[in-house]
Amino acid sequence: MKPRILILGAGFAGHTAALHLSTLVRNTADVTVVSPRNRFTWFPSLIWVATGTMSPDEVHFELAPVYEKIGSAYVDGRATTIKPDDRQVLVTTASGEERTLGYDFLLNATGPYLNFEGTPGLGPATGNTTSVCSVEHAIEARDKYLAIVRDLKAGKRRRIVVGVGHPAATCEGAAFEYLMNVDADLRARGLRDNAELVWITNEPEPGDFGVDGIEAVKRGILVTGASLVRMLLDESRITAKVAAGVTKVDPGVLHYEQIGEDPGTIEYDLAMLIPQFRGIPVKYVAGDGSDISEKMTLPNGFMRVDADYTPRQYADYRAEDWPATYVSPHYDNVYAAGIAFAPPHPMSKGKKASSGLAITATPPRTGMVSGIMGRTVAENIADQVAGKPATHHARMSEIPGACIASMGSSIWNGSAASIIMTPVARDYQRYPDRGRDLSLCDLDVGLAGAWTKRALHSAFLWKLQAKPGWQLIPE
Amino acid sequence: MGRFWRQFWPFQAWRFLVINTKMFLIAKGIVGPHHT
Repeated sequence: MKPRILILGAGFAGHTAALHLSTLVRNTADVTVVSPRNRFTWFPSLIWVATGTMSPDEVHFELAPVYEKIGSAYVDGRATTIKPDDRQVLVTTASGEERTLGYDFLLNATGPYLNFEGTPGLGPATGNTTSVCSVEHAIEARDKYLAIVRDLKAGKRRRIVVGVGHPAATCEGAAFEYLMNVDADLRARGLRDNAELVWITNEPEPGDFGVDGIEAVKRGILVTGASLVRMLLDESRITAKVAAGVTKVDPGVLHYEQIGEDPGTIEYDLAMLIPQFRGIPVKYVAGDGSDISEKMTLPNGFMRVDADYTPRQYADYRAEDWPATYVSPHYDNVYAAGIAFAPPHPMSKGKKASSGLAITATPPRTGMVSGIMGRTVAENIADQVAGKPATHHARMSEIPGACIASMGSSIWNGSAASIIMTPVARDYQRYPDRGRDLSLCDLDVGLAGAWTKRALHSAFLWKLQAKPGWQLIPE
Repeated sequence: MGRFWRQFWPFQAWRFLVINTKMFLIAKGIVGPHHT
């Protein structure tokens, strides 16, 4: 019998791993993907759906035909229990059937649980805010935004708050993109003067983006994300609440605490706030039936891997704290990648508000870095299938990250910040000056970014559907 | 960079080429420190 490889989740990490395994172990292993969502969503474009500038149909595609094409099996279901001793995963399928799937190698790439409950009043379902974290959320956010647009057209003044809705949230970059796209859309509609935009973020300073800031040398001058974002906020007349943690969202009023300031409130007509991410609730059970979830995961629900989880202060963060192979420390055939793995610590400086509330930007593990992790795990599993040791590595302190932060989708007069950082997590031993190789960093704002964002949208949807030549497109 | 250059398309076309080439080479591991 061929070795069985089971992938939980079909996001950036899981789907990329499935694609690479389809070529790495095509005839030597059976690959099965389990995902509760039967479509792949290109999340970076959801900000355009949520401003009504892109159709939801343009950002996702059906997974089953892709897996049929690459020779993998697909189960439309949700993993509920992982039994690493028995090498089994219990799955509840979309039709409600309980199934037990066996494996020889497991990749947990289940992504985030959107913890709206972590902030009272947050969220689109039971709360008072919108979100851009799924297609359904983005559609609802679009409808509420367009209602605000109608009010503005009627001459009413409206305040829109955009940012993150928890003191330890991540994905500040996505929220910032939405903010700037709302600004660009309102300008294009001639309605910007009646709208007040407010940016609220848990980043220690603007442009931190959860990666301890970004920078590049431009014509001999060091340009930082902080200076760039401050300039953009000033130019667009956007009020900023930085180093702020949202603690509660009442209808029309959100409450926050801020480093060095008294707690405050902001009245709003529309608020799009990204929630905190936690690990997907999956139970881990040992061979004797005991619950080993605490052994396998951190309290935030993310899976422990080969990181160094020793508690450290910002000044003591080390490059080698970050995981290399993403294998579980307890089972050499169980991996976690993408958002599902537990980071050892933040990258940014965390601080406490006067009440003692910790306000810290959690590191993003999405998009390109998730894809690189997925490919690396696929390469390691392929090596293990071939009887070789797993030696491929992709620490966040060695891999590059690229991000295009849209600030207007038009290919005629849109704009975006093109960001390249190498590595994502700073490594001061290798790069003593700033922890990064500045010759491999870039930071650029302009129309070229809008073109790049569009080009990446098309290129990655091509790649992720395993269309001809997909291997040529990097993660 | 001023607003003019951010929208001046010949300059932006050049930046598009530079940025995308740089991203491709780094992401492919052709330049840079990371090789899995």
